[in-house]
Amino acid sequence: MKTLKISVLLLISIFFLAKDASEIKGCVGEVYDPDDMSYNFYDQTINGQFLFYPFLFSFHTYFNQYADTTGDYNTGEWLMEYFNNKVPEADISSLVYHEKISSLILVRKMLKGRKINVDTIVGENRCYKWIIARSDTDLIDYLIYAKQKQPLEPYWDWQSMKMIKPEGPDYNKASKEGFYLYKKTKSPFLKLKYGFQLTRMAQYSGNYDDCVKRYNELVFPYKKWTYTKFRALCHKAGALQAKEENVVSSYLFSYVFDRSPAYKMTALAGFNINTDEEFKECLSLCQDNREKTTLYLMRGIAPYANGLEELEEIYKIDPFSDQIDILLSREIKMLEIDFLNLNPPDAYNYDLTWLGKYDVSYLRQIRSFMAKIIKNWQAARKTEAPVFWQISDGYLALYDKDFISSEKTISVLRTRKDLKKWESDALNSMQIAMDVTLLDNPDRKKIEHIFKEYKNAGIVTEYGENARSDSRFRYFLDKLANLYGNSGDTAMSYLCGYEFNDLYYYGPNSKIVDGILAWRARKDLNSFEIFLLRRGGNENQVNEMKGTILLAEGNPDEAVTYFKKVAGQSIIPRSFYIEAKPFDFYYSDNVDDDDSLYSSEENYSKAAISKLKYAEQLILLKKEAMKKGEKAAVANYKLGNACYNTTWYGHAWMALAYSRSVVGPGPYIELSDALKYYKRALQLTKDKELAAKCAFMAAKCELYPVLNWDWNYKILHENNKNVCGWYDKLKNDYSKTEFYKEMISECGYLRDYVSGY
Amino acid sequence: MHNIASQFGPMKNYIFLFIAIPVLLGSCQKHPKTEPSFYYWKTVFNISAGQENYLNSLKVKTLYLRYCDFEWNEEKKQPVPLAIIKINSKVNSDMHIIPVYFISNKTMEKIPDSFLNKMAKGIISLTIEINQKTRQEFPSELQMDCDWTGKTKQKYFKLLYILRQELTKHECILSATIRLHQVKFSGKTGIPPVDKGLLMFYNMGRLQDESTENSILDLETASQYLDKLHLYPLKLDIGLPLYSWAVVYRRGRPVRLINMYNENEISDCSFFSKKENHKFTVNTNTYFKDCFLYRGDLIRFENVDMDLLRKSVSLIKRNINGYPGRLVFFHLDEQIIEKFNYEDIKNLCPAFN
Repeated sequence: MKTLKISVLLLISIFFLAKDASEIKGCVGEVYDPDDMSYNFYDQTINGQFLFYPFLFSFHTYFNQYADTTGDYNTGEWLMEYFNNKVPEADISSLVYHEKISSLILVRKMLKGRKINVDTIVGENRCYKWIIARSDTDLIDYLIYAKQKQPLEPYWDWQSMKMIKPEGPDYNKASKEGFYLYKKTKSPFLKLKYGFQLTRMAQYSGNYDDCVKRYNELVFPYKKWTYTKFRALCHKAGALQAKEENVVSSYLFSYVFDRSPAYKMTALAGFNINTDEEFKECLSLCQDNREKTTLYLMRGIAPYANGLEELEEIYKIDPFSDQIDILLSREIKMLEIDFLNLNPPDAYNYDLTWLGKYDVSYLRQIRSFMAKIIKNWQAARKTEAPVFWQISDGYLALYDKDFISSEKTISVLRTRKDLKKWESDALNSMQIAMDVTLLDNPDRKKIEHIFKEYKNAGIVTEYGENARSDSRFRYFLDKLANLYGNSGDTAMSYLCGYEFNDLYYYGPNSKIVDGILAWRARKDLNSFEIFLLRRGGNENQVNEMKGTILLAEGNPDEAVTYFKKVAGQSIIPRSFYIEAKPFDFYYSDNVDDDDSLYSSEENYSKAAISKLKYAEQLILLKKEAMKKGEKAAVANYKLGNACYNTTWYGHAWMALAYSRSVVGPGPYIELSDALKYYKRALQLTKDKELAAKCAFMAAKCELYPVLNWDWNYKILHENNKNVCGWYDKLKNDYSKTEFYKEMISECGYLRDYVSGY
Repeated sequence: MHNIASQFGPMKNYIFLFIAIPVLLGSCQKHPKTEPSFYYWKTVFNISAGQENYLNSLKVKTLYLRYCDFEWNEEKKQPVPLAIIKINSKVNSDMHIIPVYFISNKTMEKIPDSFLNKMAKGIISLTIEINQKTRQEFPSELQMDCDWTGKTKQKYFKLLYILRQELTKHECILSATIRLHQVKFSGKTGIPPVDKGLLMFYNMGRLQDESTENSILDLETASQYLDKLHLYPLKLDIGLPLYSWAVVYRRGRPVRLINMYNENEISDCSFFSKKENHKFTVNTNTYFKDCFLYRGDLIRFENVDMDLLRKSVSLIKRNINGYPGRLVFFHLDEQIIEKFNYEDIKNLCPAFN
């Protein structure tokens, strides 16, 4: 039953007009999502007030992240109030939410004496059996009325691609009928339901006075405070708000907020006090202390409210209010986030200053408040303070770096035999948080000990694939990332924050790869180190990357050693292949069109050369290039091509890089080696075709590093004598070659230069 | 064609000539003038006579109108259009309306790949439905607004790709909003497959930082993000801010933004005392503009003036490749435009012409 919540939604939208700053997205820097980044040791739910869980502190401070889950409350109410707990809730749900009006009409006709077989409608539904046994046409009438008169929410339909706006019932007609049926039924519960329908109908149609009157006359008399009664009260409060009677409306919403399990979200959204005077007036409407403290609670759970101010107000009114627990757990959570705030490795690219500052003075104020309420409890009740408060006190001591008190809390509470599971878990988490906080160097024994604590607490498994998903373990990893980093162990520091595969994205890093290889070679690894190194890629990946780094450093001989380790393996990383012909001349440099960028997994290696083969050929060619004669000239030319093609400009860029920038050159753009080889080839060769190719490629090597993106080649040619020199050489010395003839029609730069454009 | 190396390839000759000639003649050829334009970012389109006069005086031909937001509905497990624009004013037939659809990054994260086709078609259908009601033809441009990240790039770009293909059938081009960080880190965040972008030149300072002077426009920060602007391969329009607000800090954390037009609203109130330029501290717990403030809170008023706008234009001009087709001001609001003389706004555009 998707009912239209126009007014409530309207109120919600008003409530959220004043934007919370955490939702504002800047145009610079990636938006920091604290829920992904904060560390959660302190479990707010240990306060046990599950109905208030949506109001516990979260960086997603908009409560509209949640919706009131009303369905169960509605069926529960039917069950208790109407069916005397005698039918299954699923059958109620089926009847109330899903039954067709036409079926209900047929059942009604049958109950009125018409010979209609309704077996297929009734089926096994126990509600129908109840209805038939009692010939309960009143209930059928109500269901038909509710379904027919239900205002439906306009919605976008992705099938028809249209906004569907169901027509609403005629207000006067529907009201008349509703009143008639209200009077007709003898069931107080059905009277309540009709009262609710009529109240809601009045609010949605803008008849606010009717709405208030109908609530007062038709709904309020129902003795119990049930789901429907609260729901109707929300409509009355909404109507009053529309009549700009903010204070009464907010008071009613606060009434619902405190008492209704189903409509807390709606009530908070409707609570709309905007001035000091309004708040005072609202307080004056309160009938008892509980109602007063509820107003402070509602103000205190606003995003980033100063909870302590509101806690003190509540305490003044009722020092034993359980509402203190809700606000207190929120404040402790906020303090935890500030206290545990680390600076994870830079490359997260998140702006961590979004987190609050570690404000020890506020922390101590909260701690004093905590001490005050515990002392007061013990004095007044002559019993130990609730476990929730003691655990919270221990966490506050931890954030205050009073580790002795924190430790004491843990040891005292652990002796208790009546601890619930979540309370034990909370103590384990506190112990771990303390141990990690106290860790000040990458001591292998201590690290291993803490890792075991994590495993024992069930936070991480030996083979945890998604190690960073639990924020408590992420705290450990981030702390270690800093400690390893400070001690110069780049590899382990990196693996705490990232996985090996991330290197393909950020670019290979010699220190990390060497570090991983060195750690892997050790024989004395403990279980944490083994765990961490599992994040360090497989052996083939590391060897392949090491070889590639050596290739990029101009050391193919050593690269071969690592590539050979990869070549013989059954699973070879794709990056082991170069999907181009690195030693060849390419007419087109349009790398963006290369199949290699898009080729499928099964096709990629077919046209490719392995990095091992490439490195081996490089070594051979380098030897040949040192000699003299035509063979040496060709070798130099091929080496020139290899140097050129493996830069960002060439088709074989993947020989050295793992990704290719789409905006501007990078990462490998150095063409001086290529130029050196082309020049030497030119000196050695007597073949004019080869010489023409070398001169043309030399021109490219001189041109690209200075070519501007504004396409102003005319200025370039005027100012770059080297390029002009190569073009002149081509024109003067090699104009009769086939290559020159081909290029003069293919290359715009050359042609324009030669034609004096 | 953003690979310079491609100029050496066969078959690229003709393209080369097409590019070469206009470049060579560029110095003496006039490009279309940069036009002023506005975002209209409210849920009800209701243009007052004052606003209409303002637009007419500026000869504004184009309005960017937020048609709706797409948010993820957890219950339906699909994105739903929210706050669909309600058009209460007659749309001037001379005015080009560019529908803008905002889609949150979180929604983009959750949309399944299989839904993107439907989503693109839905955007077009919604555009047709809204435009039919207002008797407008299908727009010549449609804009998508999403602060995508590396994580959502692939999906968002796929949506844009499909949408652009669909829009071609309607002879409509697709544009997308571009944040400054998406320009600076374009290698990571990618270039969206659209016909052009709109660079949002606002919300650039560190809102998080109490010591920031103005997070709406902070040219020092902006200049750090503009070094690669000339390399950005998309043609860009520019979005400039006209709005102001107050940022509330509580224990060093920004907690609230309050829409405000004038600093006097704070400085004239006894609950606040001035700390330094544009900064105030709260003396006593109080409600202020629908927000409850606590003593000790810090409020910073942030504003944009003509001088800052002129400097912004000058900075963009120094860094942008070419010229923006439009300067789009955020946003059209009665109280905002009261603060800006239309002549001054008008004079910002010739800086590019």
